[in-house]
Amino acid sequence: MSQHHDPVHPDSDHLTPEVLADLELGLLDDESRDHAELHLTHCATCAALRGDFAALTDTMADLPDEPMPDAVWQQLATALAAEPVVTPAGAATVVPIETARKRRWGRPGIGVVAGAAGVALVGAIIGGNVLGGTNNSAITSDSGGPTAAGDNAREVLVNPYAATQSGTKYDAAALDAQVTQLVTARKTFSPTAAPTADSTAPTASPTTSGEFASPEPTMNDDPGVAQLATDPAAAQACLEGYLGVPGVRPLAIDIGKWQGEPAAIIVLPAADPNAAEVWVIDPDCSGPEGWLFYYATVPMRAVP
Amino acid sequence: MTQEDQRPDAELLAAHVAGDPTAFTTLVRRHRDRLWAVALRTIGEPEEAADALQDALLKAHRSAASFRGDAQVTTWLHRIVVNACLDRLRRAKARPTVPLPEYDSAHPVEPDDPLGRRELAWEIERALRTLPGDQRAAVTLVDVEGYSVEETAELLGIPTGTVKSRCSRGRAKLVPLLTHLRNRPDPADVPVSDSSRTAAPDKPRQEPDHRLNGDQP
Repeated sequence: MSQHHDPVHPDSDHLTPEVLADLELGLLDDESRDHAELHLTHCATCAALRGDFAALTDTMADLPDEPMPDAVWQQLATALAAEPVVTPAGAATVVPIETARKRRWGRPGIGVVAGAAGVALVGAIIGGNVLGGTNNSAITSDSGGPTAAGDNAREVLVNPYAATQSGTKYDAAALDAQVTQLVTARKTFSPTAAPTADSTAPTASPTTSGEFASPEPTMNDDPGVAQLATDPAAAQACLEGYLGVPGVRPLAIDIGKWQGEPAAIIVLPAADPNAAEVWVIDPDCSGPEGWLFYYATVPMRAVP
Repeated sequence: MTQEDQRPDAELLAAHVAGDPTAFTTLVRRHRDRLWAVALRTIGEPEEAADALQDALLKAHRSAASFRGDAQVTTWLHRIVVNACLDRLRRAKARPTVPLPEYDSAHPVEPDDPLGRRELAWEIERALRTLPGDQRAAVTLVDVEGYSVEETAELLGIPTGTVKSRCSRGRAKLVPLLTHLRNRPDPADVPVSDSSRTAAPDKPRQEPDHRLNGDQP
C-alpha cells in the first residue's frame, strides 16, 4: 500500500513528521519518497527530525516491562484456578482420578508444590481413636447427598486442621451445597473459644464432655484412610507444605468420596467472603507425588 | 520452594488441553510480566488492563484446544490479550485513559543515567497513553514488543499496510516529544540515542528499522 503525500511543509518547506514516519515505513509513493530523500540530503532540520524517529524507536524498544503487581497476579491466578478444565470437546470436566493420580500437586494461583512428602493429611481425622465416646453416624452417607459433617452431630472441633470423616459422596454438580453444609455444620459446632492459628499440637483428645466427639468413621474399611488418622499437626504441615502458604486455616476438612474413591475435601477461604476454595485431593498427603482430583471455587449459600 | 516447571510453552499448553489442572497457570506465570506490560500499554489504565488481561486469559484457558500450533504460544496469548484490550477500549471509547503522572523533573540527574533516558522512557510511556487505541496497539507491538509488521498484522487481524499506517501515525505523534527534549537549553539533558546524534544532515539514516526488514511494499 502506498499513499501520496505532499512532502513539503506548507510554511517552512520542511518535511512533516507524518511524511518522515511514512518514509521510514515505506508508505510513500515513489515520487514522494524521492523528494523526501533529496530534501534530507540538504536539510539539517529534517535530518535531525529523522534522527528523532530513530531515537524514538530505539527508546521504545528498550522500555522496561513493568512487573505485574502481586495483587493483579493473585486475582488472575484465583480466576484461572476456578476455571474447570475443559476438554477439546468443550465439556467442563473434573479431573479423572486415574489421570490425576499421575499428576503432581500444585496450587493454581500459588503454584508451590508441597515439600511435605509423606505427611499424612488425614492425620487430623477425628477417627475412632480420638472419638469422644459418642457413636454418632450423622454424616455418614451413601446417598451422595450433602449429609454434612455435624448434621446431628454433637462434636465440637477446636482445631481448624481437625478433619471429619463423613464418607459423603462429593460431586461437582452439588459441591456448593455440600460444602456450604459442611462448613455451616462445622461452624455450628465450633467452640466458643476460637482455635488458635498456631495450633500445632493435637488438641483433639477425647473428653467426657464430648468436646471432640465426632461422627462414626465410615471408612474404616479402607486401610489407607484409617491408617492416616493421626493428628491435626500432621494435617497442618501437609496443607501448609502443599499450598505453600503458611497460616491458611481451612474452613473444613472432610474425608469422603470422589468418583468412588476416598478423597479429602479441603475447604479454604476464598478472596470473595461469600465463596470458598475447595480442594479435592487424595487423602494421602504425599507431597510432590500427591494427587489433585478436583479444584473449584464455589459460592457459599446462605443456610436458613 | 519448588522448582519452576521447565516444560516448554507448547508442552504446557498441550498438557492443559489434556486436563492438567496447573499447566495453564504455570504458562501464564512464566509470561505474566510481558503480558501485563502489553495489556497496560495497550489499554493505558491499570484497572482496565487487569480486567482485560483476566478476560483474555480466561478465554485462552477455555479455547486452548483451538490453538493450532502454527505460531508461538506467546504470540497466541498476546493476540488474545491485545484484542481483549482493544475490545474494551472500543466499548469504553468515551472514557479517557488515565495518563501517568508527570515525571519529577526536580529529580537529580542519576549518575548511571546522565542522558536522562529514564526520564525519556517515562515521557514516552506517558505519551503512548495519549494515542488512540488502535495506534497504541500497533506501536506497542511493533516498536515496544519487537514484533514484525507481519506478526502484528496477524496478531491484530488487519492488513500489514494498516499496521504500518497506524505505526506511522503513532510515531508522528510521539516524535515531537523527542524533538522537544532535544531542543531543551541544556545540552547535557538531551536524551537522544546514538543513532540520532550521528544523523548528520549530509548523512541521513538510511538503514531501515530491523523490525521492518523485508517489509517494504
